[in-house]
Amino acid sequence: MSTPVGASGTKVYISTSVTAEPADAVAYAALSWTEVGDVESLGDYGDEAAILSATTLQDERTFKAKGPRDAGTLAITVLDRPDDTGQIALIAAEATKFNYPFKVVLPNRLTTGGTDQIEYLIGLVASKRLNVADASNIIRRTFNVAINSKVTTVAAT
Amino acid sequence: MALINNLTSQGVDLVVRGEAKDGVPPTEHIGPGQTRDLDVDLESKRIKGMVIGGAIDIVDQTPIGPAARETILSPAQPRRTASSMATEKPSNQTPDEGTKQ
Repeated sequence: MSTPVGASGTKVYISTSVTAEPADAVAYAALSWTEVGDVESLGDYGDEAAILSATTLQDERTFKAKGPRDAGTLAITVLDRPDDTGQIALIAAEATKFNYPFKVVLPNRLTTGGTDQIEYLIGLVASKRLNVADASNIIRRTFNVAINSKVTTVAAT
Repeated sequence: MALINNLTSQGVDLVVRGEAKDGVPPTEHIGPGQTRDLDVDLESKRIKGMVIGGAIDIVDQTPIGPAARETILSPAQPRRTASSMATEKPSNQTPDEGTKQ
């Protein structure tokens, strides 16, 4: 069994709003990226097809087909930092109706001189909820990014 | 190089051979249903997995290395004919030897 990849070292970046989904990985890479600081966790995201179903009287069985795909919502939980440029950008983005490109870099390079896997997507910053909680809590904020594109992946090398 | 057909309904970006820049390897895009000739590592697990999963199809591949490809792509040498061969100097002669009496 190969060594599992830990999440530690994963980085998230945001770019300025776009009017259309960048055509490919090269177009995404050409954007200017700002890292989001103090990210504690990322939720799950990625395509999931809706399953369409119909049941015929004769067969007494439900038949299924794939419908449209939805890449879901990416939850980004951060330790709230009012001086972090990336977090400030996310807060500002929530106030708009625009789509923003995001880049997630996973620490899974295959060789020492290789490159990590990169995932690109665009989405709406739908929320920026603050969680203060009690005196023993570290103040956190969760951003939900409603993904509005496919996830473009550049494989690790 | 390999002719790769994208069998999916959305574009795919494949890592091609070349130097990474700012942590990003060179990539090429294949649109839905398109076929492109790309210099990818056919032995990579990602490519093999995509073939098994039916996302791409390797239509044709040229199993040659970069050096051999350079030779093939280099400009053609002038064609040797009987008359041109008659004026050629043997390779073991110095430039002056051919004119000595």
